[in-house]
Amino acid sequence: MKQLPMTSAYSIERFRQLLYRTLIMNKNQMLLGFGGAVAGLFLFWLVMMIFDPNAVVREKAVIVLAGGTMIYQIAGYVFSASIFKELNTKETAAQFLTLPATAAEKLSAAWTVTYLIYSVISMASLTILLLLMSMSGQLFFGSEFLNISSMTGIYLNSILLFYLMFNAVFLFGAVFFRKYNFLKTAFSILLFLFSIVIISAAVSLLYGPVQIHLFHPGLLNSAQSAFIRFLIELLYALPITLLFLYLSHRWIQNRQVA
Amino acid sequence: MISIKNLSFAFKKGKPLFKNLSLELRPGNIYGLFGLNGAGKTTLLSHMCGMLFPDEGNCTLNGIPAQERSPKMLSELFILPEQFTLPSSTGTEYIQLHAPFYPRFDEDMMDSCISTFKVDTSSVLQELSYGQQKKFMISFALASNTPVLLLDEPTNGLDIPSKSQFRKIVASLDYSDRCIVISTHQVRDLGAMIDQVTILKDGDIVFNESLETIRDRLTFKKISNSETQSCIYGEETLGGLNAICPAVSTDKPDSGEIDMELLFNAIIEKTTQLQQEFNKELT
Repeated sequence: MKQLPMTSAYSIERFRQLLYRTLIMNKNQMLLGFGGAVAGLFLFWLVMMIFDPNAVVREKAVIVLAGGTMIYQIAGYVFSASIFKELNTKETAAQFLTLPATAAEKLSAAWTVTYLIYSVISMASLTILLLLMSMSGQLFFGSEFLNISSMTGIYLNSILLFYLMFNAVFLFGAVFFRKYNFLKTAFSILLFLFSIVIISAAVSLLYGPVQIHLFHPGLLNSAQSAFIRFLIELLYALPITLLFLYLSHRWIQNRQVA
Repeated sequence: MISIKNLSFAFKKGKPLFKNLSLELRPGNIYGLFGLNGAGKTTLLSHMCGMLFPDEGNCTLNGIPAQERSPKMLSELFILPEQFTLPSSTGTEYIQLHAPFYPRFDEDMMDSCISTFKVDTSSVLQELSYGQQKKFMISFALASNTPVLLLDEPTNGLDIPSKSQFRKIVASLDYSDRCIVISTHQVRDLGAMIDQVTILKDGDIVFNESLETIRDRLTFKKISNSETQSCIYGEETLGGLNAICPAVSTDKPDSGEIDMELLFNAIIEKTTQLQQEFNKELT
């Protein structure tokens, strides 16, 4: 059996082993989740096709894909919030906390599984779903083959970026809270957003409505405005992501379990 | 190896569990960490492996503070908690996932323990009985071959033959460069396999002596009710008292048999008196 180096610096070999560990320990949850989501969405598509065969097929496919991206995000947050579940009980915490690896390696393995690998498998699952819808549409309902690239490309960057940011927040919730990690994190986000709305409303009442024009949409074509929107999203999403990953790292380092 | 200096710790403010606790654990010893329920045995083990941080003082393993939880320090230590929940993977998977983190992991030792305990490593660990899970984890802990091994109530949940197998395996270990700490309140079960008695009481180590020193200082014998004046502690039994008395040169060689339960009760009941006995100059 190959033994890992035991240096105090970040080790790629240990990271790889942790990644493998995280995947094996969550494989059942992931297989059930992906299988269930694809099967559920495909059934939903079939039901829509059977009960309303005359409607535009493309519209139905867009509804299913929108549902798929929503499931991708919500299931992803639930998954991220549970990735450090070992820390939540004293019966499992010792296995995780005393595993010879740094907090950075443990966090990066969790992030890679919950963001990179989860997103790649989700996108692959959505593509398989689209292929299934296309093939079944052609075979049983005589519809056209659905153009995959034009459908999956829409807002994908924004969705992935949005998920990147909130995934980091839910990872922090996974370390910070000791119970009901997903619910408590979601509630905290809602509370934060609600307080922003209240503050904005109070500012508007005091000083009149605030309008910020970052660019004039009329001067740009749709591709340019989408790109600029993406850049603006990147400007706030990246710092928030990094902040929450840093906080998660600190919390793993300082987590005590009696 | 493990050095605890002036450790103070409290779960709740104003209710300290440890106050200026100091302890040195050296390689080549199997320490029996004893104490009443709630004395803080598990908490002390948690400090040793960095799962809890001291409020004051420090706990180091080979000079590295335990609370840093550095890979080097953690790879030299394995803790088997009293209560644990294993992942839903098979035993073989568990070994594949965790063994590479322990540089001295001994696969032959693992196979040997697994076959002695008759644990099926192809089964999903969560589907095994608690006793089987415990035997699997004991095997992994021993095979990890770490210089420091912390076992919290290792025989809880084991059947009688398994307890005996556990004792035999530990007795066969070469621990000349290892320090094994067995925390337990089952003094009778494990008393025979330790060579250092460490007792926690009222947030401090009140007793930490080797069996050799105990044999030099104390005699364990059965006495009549009229002989109690010469003894430190006694418990009534059929036809007299099981007693602990200061050792004298006229004691027979077989009086070296240590009654661990009696010793433990004596230290809990007559702490100061026993401490004084061990602080005396030997004549």
